[in-house]
Amino acid sequence: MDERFDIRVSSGSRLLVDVRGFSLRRGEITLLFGESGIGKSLIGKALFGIMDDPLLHVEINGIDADRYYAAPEVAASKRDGFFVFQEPSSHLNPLETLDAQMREGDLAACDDPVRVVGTLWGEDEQRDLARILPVFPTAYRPSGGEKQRILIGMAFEKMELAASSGEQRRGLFVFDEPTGSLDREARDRFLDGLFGHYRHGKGTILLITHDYSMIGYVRKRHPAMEQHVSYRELRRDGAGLSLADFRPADYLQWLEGIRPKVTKHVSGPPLLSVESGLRIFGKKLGFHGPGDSRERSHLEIRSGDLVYLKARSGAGKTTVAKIIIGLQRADYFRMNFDGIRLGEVSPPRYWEKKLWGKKMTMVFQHADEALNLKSTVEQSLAILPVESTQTEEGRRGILASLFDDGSLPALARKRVSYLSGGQKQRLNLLRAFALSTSFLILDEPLNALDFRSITRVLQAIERRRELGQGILLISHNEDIFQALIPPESTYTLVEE
Amino acid sequence: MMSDTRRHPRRQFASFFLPDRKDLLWTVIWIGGLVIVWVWFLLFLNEPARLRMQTAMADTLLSAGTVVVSAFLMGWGSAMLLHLLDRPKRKRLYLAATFLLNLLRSVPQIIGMLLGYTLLAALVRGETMRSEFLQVLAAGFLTSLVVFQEVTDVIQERIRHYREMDFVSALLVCGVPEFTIINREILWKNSVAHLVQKAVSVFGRAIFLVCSIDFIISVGLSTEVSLTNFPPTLGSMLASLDSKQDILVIGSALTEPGLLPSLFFEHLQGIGVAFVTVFTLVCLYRISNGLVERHRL
Amino acid sequence: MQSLRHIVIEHLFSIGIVALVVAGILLLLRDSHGLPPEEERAHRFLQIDSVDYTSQLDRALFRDAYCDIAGASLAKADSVLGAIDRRRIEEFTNPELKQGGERKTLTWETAAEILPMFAAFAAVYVIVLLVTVTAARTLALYRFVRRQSGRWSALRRYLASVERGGMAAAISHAGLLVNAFLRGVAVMILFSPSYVVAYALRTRFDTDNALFMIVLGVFTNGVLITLSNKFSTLLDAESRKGYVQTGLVKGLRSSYELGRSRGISWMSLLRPGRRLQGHVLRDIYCNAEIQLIPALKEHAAFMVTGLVIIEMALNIKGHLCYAMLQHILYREYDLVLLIAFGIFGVVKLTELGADVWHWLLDRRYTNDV
Repeated sequence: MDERFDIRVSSGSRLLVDVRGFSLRRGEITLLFGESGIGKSLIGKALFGIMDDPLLHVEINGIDADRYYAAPEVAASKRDGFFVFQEPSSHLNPLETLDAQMREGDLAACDDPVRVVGTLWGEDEQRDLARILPVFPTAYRPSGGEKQRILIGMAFEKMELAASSGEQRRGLFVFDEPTGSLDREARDRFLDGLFGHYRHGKGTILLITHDYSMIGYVRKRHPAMEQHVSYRELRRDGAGLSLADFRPADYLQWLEGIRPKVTKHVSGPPLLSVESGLRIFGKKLGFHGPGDSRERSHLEIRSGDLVYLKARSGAGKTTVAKIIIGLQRADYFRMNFDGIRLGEVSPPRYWEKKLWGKKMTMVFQHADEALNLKSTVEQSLAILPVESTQTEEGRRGILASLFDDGSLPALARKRVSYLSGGQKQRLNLLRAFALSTSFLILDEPLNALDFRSITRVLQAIERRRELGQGILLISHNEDIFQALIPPESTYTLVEE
Repeated sequence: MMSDTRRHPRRQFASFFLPDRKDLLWTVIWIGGLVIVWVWFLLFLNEPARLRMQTAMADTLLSAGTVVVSAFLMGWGSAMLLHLLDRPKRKRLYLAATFLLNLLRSVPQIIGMLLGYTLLAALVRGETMRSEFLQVLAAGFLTSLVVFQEVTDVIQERIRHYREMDFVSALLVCGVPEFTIINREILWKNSVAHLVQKAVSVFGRAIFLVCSIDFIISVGLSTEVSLTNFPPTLGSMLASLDSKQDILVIGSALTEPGLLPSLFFEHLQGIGVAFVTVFTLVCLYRISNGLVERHRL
Repeated sequence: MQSLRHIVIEHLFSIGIVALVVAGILLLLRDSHGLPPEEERAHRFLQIDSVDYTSQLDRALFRDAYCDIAGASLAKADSVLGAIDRRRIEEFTNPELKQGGERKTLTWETAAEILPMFAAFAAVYVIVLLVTVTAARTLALYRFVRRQSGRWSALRRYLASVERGGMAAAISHAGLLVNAFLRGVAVMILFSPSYVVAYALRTRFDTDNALFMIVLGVFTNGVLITLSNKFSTLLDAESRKGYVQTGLVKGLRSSYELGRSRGISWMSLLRPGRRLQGHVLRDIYCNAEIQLIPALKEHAAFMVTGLVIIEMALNIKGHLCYAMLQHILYREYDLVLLIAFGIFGVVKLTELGADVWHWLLDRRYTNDV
């Protein structure tokens, strides 16, 4: 049964979200796609009834939010439901153990929370879970993926409790980007668990995500569930937002059509070669590959090469990237870059003076953090120490590669904080592309992007390759990159 | 939650200033209040006393302003120095610098100022510092020595906030110099609200300290640490005999309500100085709070 | 997290370094008791009986004579006259010179005189510190709970009722206006420098006692409000954090109605730890409290400043800071330094206490590696 909502969220005089006819199927599962920053989280919070900012004014179906939430059915859907928030790190109380937090409030009635939460860990990982239960959460322990699984586990606890009392069918369960920090196996376990609980007790589930590869997994592993799952996409529609159906076939066909591109490599030594045996934070890391080979090897990247580095979540991919780029000191590492041998004793000034912005650069995961939100788009490019960004023409040319020509003049003068998540991520990438370094590291480049932007960004990455740039790629969008990148350019990071 | 505001001037006023422009509201209240008080003095206080009060007020504000400028220069300088020293090779120097700053932090402000003013008075007596302008600067500098770390702290906190994110790293690997990142990207573009709020807070603290030290010196030290060459401030005015007599009447008025009107018409010098001082401190505090609320600092 | 030993050593080291510096200065001061040469000369000129330095004629004659005899310029002669004038004023006003006074220096006896005053000062400080921290914490919690339950200030409620009901409401709700006015007066007092309040109440109360000093120390100089506000800001910041949202979703109690069974009891404002079990405020409070401790260190120096101002302004004989002022007056700088060092030590020990308290709390929530 489709329920339709008109939702308006405003802050003071500024309208943040205005969507008419947002539909949710009661008693079914909705997967909601759409670029980051468009308002999906706000809509999820508005529907559930948990706004974190008291200065926001919410109206649902023309009624003031307070009155709306007072209605018995709405109050029940909140009471018998759960909300899993986006940023797992800030959603755990640093002054309570994880075990205590899994037994708090309504969850106290759950007799075996460890079993419920444990379904998100593999059989060989149950010891890892047992080790983190008595831990007080800090920034680095447990890892982001573990924190996220704990929060999802709490939602599962609630589902189980509600199912046993027959109340789950009334509840609204919202999962806001629950798989951002999970590797593919953990993500699959999440979907298995979600569908399992759904089958048991029903309820209304809203799953907000960017992970289009879920579509493939549902089709492959849970085809019977497809009748209970709707795919929707939130899009900008003039000044407001509109909800449209998203056809899974569109994505699956596009994925089918991706063919790995083979480039004629420049012969000669690799541009970058990193030796296995890196030591950092008491761990020893190495590379297996290329491809599925279990052999210990060097990580090698040549000009024009796009190398994909895979690993389980929390293994240290970003840390290795930061060591290569010179932002993190390792206890031990050796690499060759552009003919120069570098290690942990090399002076940091070498990277600062010779490499940064000149021969190597990196695109970081979170565009919100990497960009200066108070600068304009033009200023974000003008700050770079390259000639091409010092003229208006040059900057427009750079922007045109990932933004529509027509909107450029207005866009260039717009403040970064007013851009959508997808636009910020594209700007983040362009800033690095504009430097035209010989080597580039991309950390989760498809983060926050909707389907259309993903295709544009992949084309832009391809263009950089053709220009001879060597690229190291880190991403948990395995479906896409495993199709795009040949096995001889794929390595796996392992703990030795 | 805000309902639609009809075009009613009172409602517009209220909804413009409240709930999140309290800093502007209290700035208006402060300036308005001072104007009203000045008009009252014009009507009911004798001219020499009024002129003395005007000079004292101006000197207090000037003194406090000097403290703010000086504290900001020193605070920025020490923050940059600490940042430069915070490298593995310069660990010892960094520890030494932090140690010294912590030491300074532990000195109670008034003791530091008292010792400093004693030194300053010796210099003035010894004719090393004749110019009155230099004396004001020196006094401001001495006072800022005991408050500048608040500025250092806020700058360091802002830098730390951005360092913890990918912000600084992302710009470094683009080849942007660190000095530019800190001063232009972090401080200028993203921290002006914090710095303005700190400036207001330091300004209030400076007024409090300057008035207090002046009061103490005028009351307790007669001519030894003679500040007769220093411009008079509200503190020294408060310490003068007639002001003290005026303030004593407040206590009497508590039990003899008949004395209340005299507070407003007769004992204006002391009451006026006391009121203006406290009123200014309260307003500056509210403005500082308003800024914190508005910008979610 | 630093080890406890490291923390203690760091603080003791600071005290030690300052003690060394102070000792060094004291030694230097011992050696310099003479008058500066210029003043010595002025002193001798003043002893010439036949010259009347108040008479313009005598001054002119002196100037000419000086230029001839010393072969100096007019400017130099004027400078010497200036030094003579200053010396004259000092001889009139400086009690030490008037009485041909006996300057006190640092001896075991003088130090023993200071010790009981210092102990009294320290005792008052400790009481003021404890009372202020408790009062600030309770006040901050109260204001936070009020804000969360959506209650506006008395002034805003009055304005809102006047908007709705016009003149009639203005009169019937005048109680709110009185409430707002009284709050305003309370804020003025809390922010008032202590000498203003002290002098205001001097005719009514006997202000020369420790209780009055404690009351002034807690309720003036803006200390209570600044500390309470700091804690309030921490509570606000914590309340916006993610784990509070997740706590609400888990069904933790979230009503901020004061005095109701579902909400917050009045007693729990005073002792928030255990009484708020199951309420989301407990998590907020505990997280904010840990962050308050470092802020206390900043306020320790300011609280001492406040107490010093109170003592000096009240000018009560037999108190530490009165003695300090006297020593400054008589140029007994060695004793001044000793007292200043003692006060510095009080602040340092407070910081040490705060760091140890923080370490203890932190340890409770640290994972065994």
